[in-house]
Amino acid sequence: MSTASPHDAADFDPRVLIEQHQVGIWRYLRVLGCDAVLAEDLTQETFLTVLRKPFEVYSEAATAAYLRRVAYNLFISHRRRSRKETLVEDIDELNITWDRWAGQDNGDQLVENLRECLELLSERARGALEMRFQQRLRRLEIARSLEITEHGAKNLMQRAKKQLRQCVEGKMQ
Amino acid sequence: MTTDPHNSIVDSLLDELLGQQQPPDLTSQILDRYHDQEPVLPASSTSSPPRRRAQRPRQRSLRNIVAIAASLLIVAMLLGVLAKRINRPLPGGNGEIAGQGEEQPSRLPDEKRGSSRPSELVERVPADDGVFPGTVAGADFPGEDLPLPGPVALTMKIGPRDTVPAIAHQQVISTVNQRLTDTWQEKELVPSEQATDAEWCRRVFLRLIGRIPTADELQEFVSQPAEGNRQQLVEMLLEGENYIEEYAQHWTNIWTNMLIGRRGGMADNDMANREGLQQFLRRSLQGNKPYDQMVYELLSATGSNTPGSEQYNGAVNFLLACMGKDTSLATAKTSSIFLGQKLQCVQCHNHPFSEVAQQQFWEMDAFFSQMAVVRAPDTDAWTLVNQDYSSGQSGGEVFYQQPDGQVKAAFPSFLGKGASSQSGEVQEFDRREELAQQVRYSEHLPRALVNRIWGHFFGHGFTSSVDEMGAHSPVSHPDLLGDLAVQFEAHDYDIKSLLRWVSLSDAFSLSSRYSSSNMADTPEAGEIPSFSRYYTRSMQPEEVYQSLLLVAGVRRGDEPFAEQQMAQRTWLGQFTRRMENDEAEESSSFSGDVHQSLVMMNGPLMQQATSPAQDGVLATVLESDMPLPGKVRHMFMAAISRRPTAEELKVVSMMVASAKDPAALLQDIW
Repeated sequence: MSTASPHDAADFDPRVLIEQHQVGIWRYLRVLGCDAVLAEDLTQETFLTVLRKPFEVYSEAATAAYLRRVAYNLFISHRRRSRKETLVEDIDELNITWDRWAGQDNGDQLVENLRECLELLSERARGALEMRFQQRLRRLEIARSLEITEHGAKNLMQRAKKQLRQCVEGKMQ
Repeated sequence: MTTDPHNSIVDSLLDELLGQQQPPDLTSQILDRYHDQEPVLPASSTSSPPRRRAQRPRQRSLRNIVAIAASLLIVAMLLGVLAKRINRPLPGGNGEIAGQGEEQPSRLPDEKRGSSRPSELVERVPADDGVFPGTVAGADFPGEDLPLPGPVALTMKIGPRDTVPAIAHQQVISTVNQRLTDTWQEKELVPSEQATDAEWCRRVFLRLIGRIPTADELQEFVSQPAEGNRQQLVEMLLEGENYIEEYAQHWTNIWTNMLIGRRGGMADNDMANREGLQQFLRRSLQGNKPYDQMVYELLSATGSNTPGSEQYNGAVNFLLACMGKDTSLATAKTSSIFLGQKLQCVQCHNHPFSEVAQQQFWEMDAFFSQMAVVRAPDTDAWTLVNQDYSSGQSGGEVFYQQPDGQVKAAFPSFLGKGASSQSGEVQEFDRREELAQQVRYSEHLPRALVNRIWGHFFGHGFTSSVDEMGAHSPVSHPDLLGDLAVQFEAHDYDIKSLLRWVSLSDAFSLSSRYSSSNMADTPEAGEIPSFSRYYTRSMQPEEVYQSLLLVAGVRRGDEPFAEQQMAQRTWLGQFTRRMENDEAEESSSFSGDVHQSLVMMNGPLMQQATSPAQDGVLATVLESDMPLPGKVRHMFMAAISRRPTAEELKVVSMMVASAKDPAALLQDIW
C-alpha cells in the first residue's frame, strides 16, 4: 500500500492514473445514465477530485472501485442540482455486475464480446437495435418501419437485448 | 437508470457500438486543469488562463479565479486557526495529536464527565486522555459536500418560517390532481379507470379508521347519489361523532407503532409506558391537535410516564422508549420519524450515499445530552427530567469515535445549522426545548409527514422509504410533495385536512386494475410510482383485528380504552417479535406465512367470527328471513365489500339446493 498525493509522492504520476482508468469511468458514468457530454465532464471532475487529496493505492481494482464511487457521488450531486430523480437502490447490484463484466479492463473485452454477439442476432432484431441506437428512432417509428405494433417493437428489442446479455455472459465463462 | 443493471450496461454499450459514442481521451484536458487547480500555490493559479471543459466551453474570468484563490486561502487560514483552537490537549493529556489509524484509548474517566449526570442511566461516547476532540479531518468521500466540524455555535433565530396563505380544501385537491395529471402526461401513462363506489368505500374506511365497512355502511354509501357522496363519507369518518373514537384509536395505533413499535412499552423492564403514550396520542388526535404542537410536546416532554402518577405526562414515553446506554436511538428516531432523515448509518461513519455526515448525527445527539431518567422510590413510574450536562472539558460537547479511531467533539447543532448556545446548563440553554423548536419550524417536518401519510394511503410514498428523504433518495413527485407540505403548514398542521386532501385525490379514486397503458407503473417491482392506479396490498394486523371484531360482533367500544388496547396487544403479540438491535426494530410474522395462517384459522377470534352462536354477521344472516340471494349478498358485502357476481350466486344456489343443512353450508361459505 502506498500513499500518493500531488505534493509528496515523487513516483506518483497522475497521467498514468488517468490513462489507466478514464475509459472505465466514462463507461461507468454512461451506464449510470449520463449522456456522452455529461460523462465526459464528470470523468474530468472525478479525476480532479481525487487528485486534490491524498489517497491510498491498494491495487488497481481498489483504485478503480474508489474512482467509481467518487464518480457516482458526483453524478448524484449533479442530479440533485438538476432536481432529477435517481434510483439508487440497485447501485450495489450494478457495481457488482459492472465489476464482473468489465472490472478487469475498463470494459474493453465486454465491448468486443458485445460486437460479436450483435452479429449473431437475427437481421430483424439487429435492425431494430440499429434503428434505436444508430438512427435514434422512437419506438413508434421503429414499429412502423418493421410493420409491427409498438408493443411488438418493444418486445423485439427486449428479446434482442436479452439474447445479447446471455451471449455476453456465455463468453465470460 | 433501469432497475436491471444488465440492461443499463447493455444499453450504454450499444450506444457506444452502434451510436458511435466512443470514450474520449481526456488525459491532457484533465492534466491541464489539474496543474491549474493546485490551490495551495496561489501565485501560479491566479495567473492561469481560464480553461475549457469537455465539449462545453465554460468561460471563467480572471477576476473570478482570483476571487476563488483568495477565498481558498482565507478558508485555509481560518481552518488553521480553528484547528489550533480545538486541538488543545485535554487536562492530563499527553499533548500528542492523534493521527489517522493510530489505536485510540476509548474511555474518559467518570470524573471527567458531568458530575450531575446520572452515569448509570446514560453513558456517552467519551474522549480519553491524550486525545484531542475536534480534530479536523477531511471528508471520507471526495464527492460529498461535508460541513466543517468543530465547536462553532451559530446564533440562530428560531421561529415560524414565512408561509403562503392557506387555500380552500377543494383548491388543494385540484392542485394535487393537476400535479398527478402532469406526471401521467409526462410519462405517457393513462390512469386506470375509476374504482367502484364499493371499492373506494372499503379502502377509505381502512385508511381513515382502520377497519372495513359493515354491510350496512357499505349499502348506505353505494345507494347515495354519486355527486358529493365521497366527500360526505370522508367528512363523516373524520368529523362524525360516531367515528371519532375509531378515528382516534386507529391513528393512535399507527403513531404508537411508529414511535415505539408494536412491542414497545410492554416488557417489565421497559421504561416507557405504552398506555401512557397511547393516552397522550389519543387525546391529541381526538382534539385534532396541530401536528407541529404534538411533535414539540413529544420532544420537549418532562414528567412521569405512568397515568395517575404525580407529574404524569404521557408524552415522555416516546423518549423513554429510546433511552438505552446512550441517546443515539432518540436521535435516530427523531430524525427519521419527524424529519424523514434516516441517520443510523452515519452514527458510525460517513455514509457514501448520504449527504449528512457523522458529525451531524452527534451534533443532533448533543441536544439530548441533558436528558436523564429517575425513578421515584416505591413506585414503578419513571420520570424524565433535564439535568445540567458537562463533558468535563470546555463544557457542553459530546464525544464520538470515528471509524479510524479519532475521537471528535460535537456541540448541539440542528442539521449543521448551529444552535443558540453551547452551554450544558439547563437554566442557560434547555437543549431539548431548542431541538423541539428547531424541529417544529423545520421545513422537513411538513414534508416528512405528507410523505408518510401519502405512503399510508397508497402503500408507497414519494420516496422509496418514507423514513429516508435525503438528497440521495429521489422524490417521485417533488412538486406535489412541495405543494402539499406548504398547504399542510399553511393550514396550521391540521392532520385531518391532509387526510381529506389525499383521500379525495384522483389517485385514491382509481381502480387497482391496470391496463396496457399503465403497465409500467409498478412500484412493487422497484419502479418509481406514478400513482396511475391504486396499488393493492395486504391489510395491516391492526386492520385485520378490528375488522374481525366487527364481523364477529364483538363490541369492544363499550370497554375502557386501556382494556381495548390490551386485548388488541394480546392478539397482535402473536405475530410480532422485537429484534434486539440498535434501531429497536421488530420482526412480524404477519406476512401471509404458515404461522399467520394457523393463528388466523384456529384462533379464538376467528372462531367467534365464524360461529353462528355469536352476535356476528353469520348469526344475523342465519336468523334473518331474507331469501337466499339476499343472505349471500349480505355476507359478500360484509366480508369483501362487494356484491357476488351472477356466477357466484348461481354456484351458491346450486350448493344450497343440494345441501342437507343449508345453515351449515352458509357457515362454510362464510
